[in-house]
Amino acid sequence: MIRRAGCCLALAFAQAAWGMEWAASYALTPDASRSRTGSPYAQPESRAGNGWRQDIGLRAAAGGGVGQFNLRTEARFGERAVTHIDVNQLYLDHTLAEGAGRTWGLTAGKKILASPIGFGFRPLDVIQQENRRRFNAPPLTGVPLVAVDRLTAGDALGLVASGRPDEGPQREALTLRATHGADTYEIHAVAQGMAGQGGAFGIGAMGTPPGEGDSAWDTAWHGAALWQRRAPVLRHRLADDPAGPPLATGNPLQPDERAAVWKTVAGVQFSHGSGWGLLLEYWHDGSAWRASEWRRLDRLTRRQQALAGLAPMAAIQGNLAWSAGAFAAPSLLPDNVMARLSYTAESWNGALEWLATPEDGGNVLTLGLTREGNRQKGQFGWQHLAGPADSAYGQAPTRDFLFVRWLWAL
Amino acid sequence: MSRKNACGFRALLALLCGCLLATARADDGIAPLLQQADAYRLAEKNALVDVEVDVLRHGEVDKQRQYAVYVKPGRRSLVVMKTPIEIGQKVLMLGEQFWLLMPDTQRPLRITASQKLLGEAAVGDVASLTWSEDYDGTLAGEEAIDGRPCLHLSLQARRPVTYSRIELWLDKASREPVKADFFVGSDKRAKEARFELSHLAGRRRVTRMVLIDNLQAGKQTVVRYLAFREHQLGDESFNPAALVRRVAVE
Repeated sequence: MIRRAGCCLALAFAQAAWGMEWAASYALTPDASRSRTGSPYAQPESRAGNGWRQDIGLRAAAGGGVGQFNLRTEARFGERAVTHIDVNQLYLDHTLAEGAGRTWGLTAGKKILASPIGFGFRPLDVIQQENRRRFNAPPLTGVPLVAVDRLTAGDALGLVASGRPDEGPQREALTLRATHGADTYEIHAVAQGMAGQGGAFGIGAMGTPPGEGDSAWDTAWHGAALWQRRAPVLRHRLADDPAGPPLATGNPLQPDERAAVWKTVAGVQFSHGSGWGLLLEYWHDGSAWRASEWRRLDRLTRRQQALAGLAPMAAIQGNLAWSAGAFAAPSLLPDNVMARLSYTAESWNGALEWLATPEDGGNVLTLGLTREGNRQKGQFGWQHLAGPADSAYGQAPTRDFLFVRWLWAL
Repeated sequence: MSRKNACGFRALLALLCGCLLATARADDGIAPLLQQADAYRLAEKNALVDVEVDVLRHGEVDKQRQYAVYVKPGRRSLVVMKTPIEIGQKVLMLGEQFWLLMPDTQRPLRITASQKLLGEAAVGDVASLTWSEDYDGTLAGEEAIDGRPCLHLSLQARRPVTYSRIELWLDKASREPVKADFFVGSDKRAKEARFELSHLAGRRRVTRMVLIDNLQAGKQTVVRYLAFREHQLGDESFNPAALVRRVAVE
């Protein structure tokens, strides 16, 4: 008790002494998943899909400096808990010069710098590259960067030198970002040079139709396109060589590149004062696997399963587990459509989202519910992957994901 | 046209002209009234206002929120959330365009007027409305509100705004705002506001506002203005791209 009071006093003293603002949170997230019976990638039934995660977050800010840290403990059923600290963000925003309606700013450190255009997919997210399809994702972690920005009342121009993030395929890059804001729309443009991958150029816009305000429904639209000279992809070296050996001794999913890739998104959302909202979005991800690549992986998987009794089961299951890594891609197929129906009522909000890949009929249904109080937040999420047996989502090794989260903010 | 009809037409014309003149006279007198009423709400052109909001559901406090609201002329306001559960969130309002920044994703998301109205930060919009700049009005009459003699003004927005019409009641003697009804574009009453005044930061001003929500039944919002101070953020701080930058005084 005395120690706790001492800690509180020390924190209060630090806050008073340094003018530091801070916020802390505790979140507990039990989760469960159910394997798909009959999926060639499913592992033998186990309860390892069930587990929990505990996040203790701390956000502190003083002057132009911000630090965001997360102490995460994760445990799968029957396994030992693993604890580690994430430095999600640690950066300094500094004003270099201001006057005559413009500001020159410098940012240095590890920061989340994301594109605002797109919901299910964000082509212009060339620095952060958040995987939007990740379900029950832990807090985002920023990218190490140094940025110089020039801001006026309506426009922004920034040059960002970024390093390699903690995870993901990005390399060192230099990115020029420009934004032009008008009354009812804004235009975003990016040009990026990434080490070993050449250039990428993108443009996008979002806005509201002029004259809004006379209708009970509000409309907003967005669209973006990115061209990459070479985009990072994952290649399965066994699947690409049908005459080769069926089993690998190391992970056959290897980083590779695809030339001249287009990534596009277009969407519209409608919202009503009663709390209802509808989002419709289409995107094309040129770096995603094509249906032919999934079929090659299917053929390999069948060859591997046919080896039961002829090769060690551990080798077969290990190879299947490696192959299952392909399902973690941001888009499983290039063309995707998404519809999201949401309702917000005071402290509650809920959303039902349907994502589909028309090429093979695969789809994902996601339900989310949130209840937010003054210091506590409760969340529930459920995701169901479905589709024909030969579709990418229809044969994903996990059929259902479920989580509940309780968060307490200090 | 018969003589009788001609007389009737002239009478109608005279009545219309009289109404128009009356309207013109009312309009001429409305602007100073609105300026006086605005001065009770936000006297400072560039200000930082500390606001505390209680959201009541069927009379029970459902949640409490604290905000720092930076206000700048030209219907620009930046709402910085201070409540622990929302810390780091910001809402930027530039006229009728709105952006929301969530700290976890650092994306300045453009949101619609309906989405903005659903959040408690919408009170920042009500708070920063400048009646004299955004509305034309006519004097609709005199009425007593809670026994107080009031001038009833009917205000119409000069351009497309969230609240296309406001019915406003000002104290007849002091011009203090007493009550206001806010109507959205479909002419549905979205909010009803009651104003309470006291001395704060060296002058008599609105320090408490009770908003009854007509779009969400049973919802009532009590807005308390805790502090007003002159504070000038540069124009560039009201750029959506600047939301991801930390405002040093936030």
